[in-house]
Amino acid sequence: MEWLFSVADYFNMPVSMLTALLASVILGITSGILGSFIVLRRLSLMGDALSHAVLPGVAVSYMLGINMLFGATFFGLLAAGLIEFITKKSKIKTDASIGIILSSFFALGIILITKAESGTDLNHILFGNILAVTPNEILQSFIILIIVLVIITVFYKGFFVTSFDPVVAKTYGMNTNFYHYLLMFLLTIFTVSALSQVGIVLVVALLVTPATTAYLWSKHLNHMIIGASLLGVISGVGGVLLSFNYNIPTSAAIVLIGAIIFGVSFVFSPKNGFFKQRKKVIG
Amino acid sequence: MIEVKDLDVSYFGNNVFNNLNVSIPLHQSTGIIGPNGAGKSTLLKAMLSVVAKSHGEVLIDGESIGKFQKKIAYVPQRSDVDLTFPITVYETVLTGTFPTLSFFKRPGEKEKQMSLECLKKLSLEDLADRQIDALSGGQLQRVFIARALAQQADFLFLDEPFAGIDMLSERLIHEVLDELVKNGKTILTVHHDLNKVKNYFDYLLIVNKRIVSAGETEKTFNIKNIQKAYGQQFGDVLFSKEGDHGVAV
Repeated sequence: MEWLFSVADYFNMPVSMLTALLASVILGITSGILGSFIVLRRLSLMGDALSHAVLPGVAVSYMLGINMLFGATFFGLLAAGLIEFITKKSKIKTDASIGIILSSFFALGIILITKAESGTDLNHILFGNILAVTPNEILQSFIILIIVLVIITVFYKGFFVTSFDPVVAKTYGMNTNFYHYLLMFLLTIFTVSALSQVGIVLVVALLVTPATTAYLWSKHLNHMIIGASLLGVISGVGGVLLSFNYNIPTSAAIVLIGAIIFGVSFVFSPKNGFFKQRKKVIG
Repeated sequence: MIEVKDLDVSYFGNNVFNNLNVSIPLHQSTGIIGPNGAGKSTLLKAMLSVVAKSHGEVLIDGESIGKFQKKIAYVPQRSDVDLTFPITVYETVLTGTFPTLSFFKRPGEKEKQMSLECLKKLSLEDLADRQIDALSGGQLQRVFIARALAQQADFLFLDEPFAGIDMLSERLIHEVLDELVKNGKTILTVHHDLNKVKNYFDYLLIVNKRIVSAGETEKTFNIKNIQKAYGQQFGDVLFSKEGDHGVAV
């Protein structure tokens, strides 16, 4: 990773700033792609639940000395499966079952992290520290971005139709459950990639805010995905620059920049149209 | 012939259908009518395995309906679709071609051409670039019919396609469906308005948690069967005038 130093030198900035910028760009793109599907499938709460539910997986991975991805994926998918199971096998509504699973997995994670005595700081996992991100973590985030890109591209037709019209998708012979769990899988590995940088607590903001903002401006799914990724990058880079210059917590800065762009879009975007006559036809 | 055999369907332990058997002729237009909550849509969805069957099978010419999956186009009720999705009229119709494509293939020139033709058949070409949430009920229904056409299916299963739509849309849809039947396609329609039953359907299933009656519309659509399904009083109102022109519900 020598080149990182040369690049940092060239631009006359600290290496930690360069790595933070790189990390936030990668994270921004990934969150835009996944977030678009999460938002359109009404899984925002689910995204929050999964990002919290990977915590025990992180702890177990530390204990066993394996890559975080394995533990996180296991607990993430387990949580998704349990939420689905509780909702389908009873009259309990999805939001309630999400609430139960989210908090219990998170609680279990807190206990395991404390017991693991690995020197891992719980604070670090909860709130992240993008300025301390290592080149290895950046590489891992980059690989995860590639995996997400490849899977979404290969399965695009399926993700498209199962998100838009799941009932008709079923009649086409598409397995809607398969796409659901595939998305949940991508979500858990994304959480791992985001964890060290913005922390568990704010992962959901990365997923939901840029995608929702892009939604307000888009007429087509692919525009929404590209727009969300772009906004993810803008808030990421903006947040890093802001936190370097004014010494404020980076993850919070990233999230708030995203929120401000959302606020502006909410007022001015064509879909919400406070300043534009609605073209809706009623009847 | 489409055969539904020993069909059981239940929702959270409540039986909707118990041992339902019925046959539906091919290359004709068949209507499914019945009072609210009779299970009309559920029957359609269970046949397509969109709603789980607890027991039973559906055969087309003796073979499992699953084998014909890509050849069956389903038109959902408008309320079943997420209208806030960022998608235009043209793109919606284009998704109808997806079942005709292999896994890795994206819609190409041929599929795009086909989608445009389907749009034209339903007079939607001027709305091609419109978001689907900016359409009237009738226009939206035409979009769904166009999407089903783009699938080039041999069977069309429609859930309340005529509910709450304008007269122009109704006429256009009726014409398109008529032409499909003339070309040998099989159409099965859940319908709520008893008014035009005789104009629309060659064959009729009258349903109320069971098959009340099934047969050619001419023979099946009469006061006795309607009373059996809808109750005594309703039948009286419907057929009170001479002849049996129904009254809208």
